[in-house]
Amino acid sequence: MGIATLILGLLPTILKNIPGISAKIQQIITDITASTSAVLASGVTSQPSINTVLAAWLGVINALKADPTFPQNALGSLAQVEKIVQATLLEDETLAKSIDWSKLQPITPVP
Amino acid sequence: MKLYVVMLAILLAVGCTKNPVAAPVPGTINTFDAFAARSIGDAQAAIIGVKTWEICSDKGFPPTVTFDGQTFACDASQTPFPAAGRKYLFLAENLYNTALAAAQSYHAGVTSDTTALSQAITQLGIAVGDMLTNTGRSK
Repeated sequence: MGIATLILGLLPTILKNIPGISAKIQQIITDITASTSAVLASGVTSQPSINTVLAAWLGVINALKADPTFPQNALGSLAQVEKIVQATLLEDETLAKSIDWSKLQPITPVP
Repeated sequence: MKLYVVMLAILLAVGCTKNPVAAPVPGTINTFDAFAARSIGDAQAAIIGVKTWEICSDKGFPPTVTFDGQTFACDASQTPFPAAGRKYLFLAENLYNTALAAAQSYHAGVTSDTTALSQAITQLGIAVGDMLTNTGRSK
């Protein structure tokens, strides 16, 4: 699972850094972090459990999107990262079954 | 908070290095090879996602953008790419290329040095984490 698990573990950190999150949502984030950290730290993560963790975080993000008091502009970057995390986990699922080295290509760095 | 992120990244990356995937997968020579390829493939997906966002934003969100010989769709609903994320993307790209080269050498049997490759993957994992954290929390 490696980097995919690491990326999934970053979501609560990103969420907690967003200003303007209500105490209620903060508590939900804390509660989910406790549960998902245990799953991620167990070392026996499987794709279904990873998807469950991701679903929990997507639920928090959707709750924030629906909160009229929350500064919606703060969600723009978060929503984009959430899509990238989903794409990465989907790729990880494929890589767990087989590796096609021809698809692992250099990326041209742009400073 | 950044220290927390880096510590989390190190702990997870090191933990995963010591516990590679349980069984070899097609296309790999052993469990470590599979772990390396999977980690690099994960990083590639994350970096390409962020890079697509950056280039789409720079070009004003056209329908598609092309880089590194591939074409990617832009999402017109995206927010502009945060300037603060550029240096983290650049670092992740460079460390990805370093880790990829090391993994390809190991896979091809050119080297059996698992320590150097483990370190390259750990550094890559930290860089990818920093990249996502610093682009995700920007407004």
